[in-house]
Amino acid sequence: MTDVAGTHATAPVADDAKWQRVLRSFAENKQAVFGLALLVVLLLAALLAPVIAPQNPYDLAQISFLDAMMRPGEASPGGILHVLGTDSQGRDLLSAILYGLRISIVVSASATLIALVIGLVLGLAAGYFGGRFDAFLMRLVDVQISIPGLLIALLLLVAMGPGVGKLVIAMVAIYWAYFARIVRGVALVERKKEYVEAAICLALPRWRIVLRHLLVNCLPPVMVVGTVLLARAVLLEASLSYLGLGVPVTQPSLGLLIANGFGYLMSGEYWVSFFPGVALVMLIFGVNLVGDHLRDVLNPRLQR
Amino acid sequence: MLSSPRSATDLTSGEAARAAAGLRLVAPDAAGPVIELRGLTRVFRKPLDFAARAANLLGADIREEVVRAVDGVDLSVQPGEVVGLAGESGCGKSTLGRMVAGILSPSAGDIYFEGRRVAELKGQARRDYALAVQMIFQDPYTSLNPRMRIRDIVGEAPLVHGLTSRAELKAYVREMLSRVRMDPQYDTRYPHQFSGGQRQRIGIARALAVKPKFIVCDEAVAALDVSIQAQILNLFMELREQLSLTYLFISHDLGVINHLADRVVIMYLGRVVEEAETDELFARPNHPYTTALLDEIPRIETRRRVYQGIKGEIPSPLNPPSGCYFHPRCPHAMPVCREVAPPLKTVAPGHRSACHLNDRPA
Ligand SMILES: Nc1ncnc2c1ncn2[C@@H]1O[C@H](COP(=O)(O)OP(=O)(O)OP(=O)(O)O)[C@@H](O)[C@H]1O
Ligand code: SF4
Ligand SMILES: [Mg+2]
Repeated sequence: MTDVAGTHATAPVADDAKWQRVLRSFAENKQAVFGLALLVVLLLAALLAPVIAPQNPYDLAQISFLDAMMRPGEASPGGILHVLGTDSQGRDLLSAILYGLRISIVVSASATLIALVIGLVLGLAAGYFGGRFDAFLMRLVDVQISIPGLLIALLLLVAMGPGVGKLVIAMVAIYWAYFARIVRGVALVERKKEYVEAAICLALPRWRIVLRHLLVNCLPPVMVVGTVLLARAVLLEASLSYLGLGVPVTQPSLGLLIANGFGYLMSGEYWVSFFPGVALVMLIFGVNLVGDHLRDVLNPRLQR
Repeated sequence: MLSSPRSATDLTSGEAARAAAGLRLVAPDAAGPVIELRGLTRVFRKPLDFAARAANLLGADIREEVVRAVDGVDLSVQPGEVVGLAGESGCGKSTLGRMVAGILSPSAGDIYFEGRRVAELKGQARRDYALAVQMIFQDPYTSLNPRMRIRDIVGEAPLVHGLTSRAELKAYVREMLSRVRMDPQYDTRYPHQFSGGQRQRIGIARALAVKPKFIVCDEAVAALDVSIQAQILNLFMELREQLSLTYLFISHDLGVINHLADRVVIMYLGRVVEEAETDELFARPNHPYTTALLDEIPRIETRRRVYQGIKGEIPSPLNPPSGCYFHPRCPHAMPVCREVAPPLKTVAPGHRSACHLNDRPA
């Protein structure tokens, strides 16, 4: 990128050149812009669900079995137009999807974020201090990663029982290892660089070296891995909910909605499963598009 | 310094007091060396991994890799002196410099700072030593944290150690930048916005910001263009005058060392083989290794081609030769050289060399 060989005597580049560059290259990439726009729309829709949804799908008083399985575009006698139809319990599907999107995003994002923080702390400690702790942690990570995530989550959820909180715990238990591994690898590389030696030589406190020097330099790859894992987490949450081990039936996420409608798929009542499926695909697609581009932009080899 | 009122009647106790004071004061005083190394040694071990241990169980004989990167080095540096440290790649120059700068801990031997054993320093005294000895690094691209602004790179340590206050930090950093002849207005920029030479200046400013007395320059100009090298070397010499600094100047470029150093130390495979005043060493090199190095000093235009042509490979530090480490490559090698490691001996005033040739009757 900038100033490769250091040939210019003065290099008057604007202060925040790096972030401008990130933004500009984002703006230049149609896929990235599309992915970002998609994500923003979905996030807004999830955030504003109580405002924009025609119905509160959690409020049993608003739901009537008499409205069950209405086709997309039909209006119920109550006066609500069911743009995407209703499900077997008479819930407005658009409302259910908006609320379900919320749950899917909250569960997978919080699980990813908690896993990120745990992985960051453990990975940094392992990379910086090394030794037995490092060896132990990396064995644990190896074992953890070699077992399929779905299996771990299934076992944990069977043991702990269902619930949103437990679902998050199960997902954190899977994803922390990926973060720990990548952070540890980056920290090992960064730790050997001379700016860390300089910090040691300047007698800076250890925590300061780890947090102010190492941590910030480990963040870009963590962000990239974070988006990949976020997309996976969305899918895993959907899978677990589909299997009935995730969120409670009264507060369906996208995965549970898909599961609910699955039985009707072959009998022509496609919409009950199909539209939540579309929403899930859009969410994963958006995260992946942004993540892919983030990976290009933050590629350490193109940096500095 | 101490000016205690003395009376004639009080002579004996006064003398005793001065003697006692002297005992404490002799060392930190300007009279002694700033840095003294005694038998300084650093061993790197690469422990066997699981596979190797498993192989050993099955009868293989895989040994732990042990490198004596620095092997019993004695050296003292007087205040204000510039000591040049030279030797081929891998002979332990950086390892020695890192130990002196407190980045690596020695495996054996001692470092004395202003007469006090560094290993015994605690708390404030330890911190004072850590700050008093700073290091300038070789690679201007990895030696600055890419995600910090110049003002934080330079200002972090003095702020943490209370050498300046938050209110005065900006002025403090700017003063450091002007000391290294940089435009102080650059303080809000990031390292990637500067050239190699400028980055090296920033690295120097960062070191100066903690008011060091002793600076280890590890190949500090090797990564720079020749024209920039001269500027940075001149900066080092200016700063030495202004701030009465002492340098340990590590370089594989004997031309630079000849230009800069008051005294030169030559290392070979972790050991010091020769040490003398610069003029003496360049005029009358004693050790065959030094002679070979001097023959290799390239002309300016080929400065980067250093040391090619000493006959033979540098032996592996994993498995050094017996006796004099240089014997497999030495044109004067004798039977004794294979058996006995020659100790450093004074061959002329201030001139020490480790070679059996000096033991022969003249
Ligand atoms: N952290 C380390 N772990 C293991 N071995 C090391 C380490 N650092 C240095 N060594 C070994 O110690 C020896 C001396 O290395 P050192 O970097 O001090 O040499 P040098 O004289 O500075 O070489 P150069 O001129 O290439 O910089 C080398 O054999 C090197 O492989
Ligand atoms: S001791 Fe022997 S081998 Fe070593 S430098 Fe002297 S003459 Fe050469
Ligand atoms: Mg070196």
